[in-house]
Amino acid sequence: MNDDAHWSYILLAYGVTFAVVGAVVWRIVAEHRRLLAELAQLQDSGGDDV
Amino acid sequence: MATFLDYMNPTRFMALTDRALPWLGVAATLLLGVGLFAAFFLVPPDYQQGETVRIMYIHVPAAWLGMFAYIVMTSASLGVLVWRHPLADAAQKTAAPLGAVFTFVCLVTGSLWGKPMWGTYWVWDARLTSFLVLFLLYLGIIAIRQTMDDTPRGARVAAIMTLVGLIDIPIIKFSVDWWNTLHQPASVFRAGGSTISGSMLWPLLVMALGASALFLTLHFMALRNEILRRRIARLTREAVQAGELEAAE
Repeated sequence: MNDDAHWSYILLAYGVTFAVVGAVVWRIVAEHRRLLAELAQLQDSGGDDV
Repeated sequence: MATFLDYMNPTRFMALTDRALPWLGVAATLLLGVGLFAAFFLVPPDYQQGETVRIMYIHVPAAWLGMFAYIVMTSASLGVLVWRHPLADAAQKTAAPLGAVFTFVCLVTGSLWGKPMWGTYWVWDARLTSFLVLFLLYLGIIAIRQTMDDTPRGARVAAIMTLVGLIDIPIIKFSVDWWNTLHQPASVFRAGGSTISGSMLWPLLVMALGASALFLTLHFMALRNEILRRRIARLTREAVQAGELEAAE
């Protein structure tokens, strides 16, 4: 197998890794923003200090 | 001086991680940046594997973190079962998806490394199979947490399953010594020192440090989310109860 064929496996491996880890980071950050907004809404509507 | 147990208080944990997270994030970015640069531009091709050896720089750290996350879950499970600590419960719950992700990355990158080197994506040898079992354990624990919500019983069942599954970690580690495997034996942490050349080893260690910093960053962020979610649930319950009391009066 030549080096060009090897590079396709290398790039696929790194691509999958970046896609999966990137999706996890995006999901955690998006959830954090959603939770902060929900908490602020609850506190505005009369909840106690958190 | 504050002890470790003092930081097990959710409020103090939030304050501590508020300060630590930016530093951890920067450390992870820098280490992974340096490690990736070295993996692609400084490391020479392997004399047997050629360029394909570059997959090692994500495969091996992912494998280590897949197992490290399970050790974190095991420690947290002890906190659940012995002290019934809510933060330990949250730590166990939030480490499971991250462990599953790193284990998945390890399995996929290992497959993509195996095809050009072994001629196949998968073999049922002891190392690969025991790692697949680790992935299935993570999925099982996540499924338990999702079906039993945040009940104390759900936390205890997940903690017990985590402790039972711990047996897989030494099996993964020593599988290449106990059985004949297509997977290579240990080459970094072994008696007699590493068999990897220094020019290839240091970027691997930098990548492992960077991936560990990334794991801690993500785990702390997920843990903060879990604490927020529980506060929101408590506030919502209190608001509903207050509304019911007002309606009753």
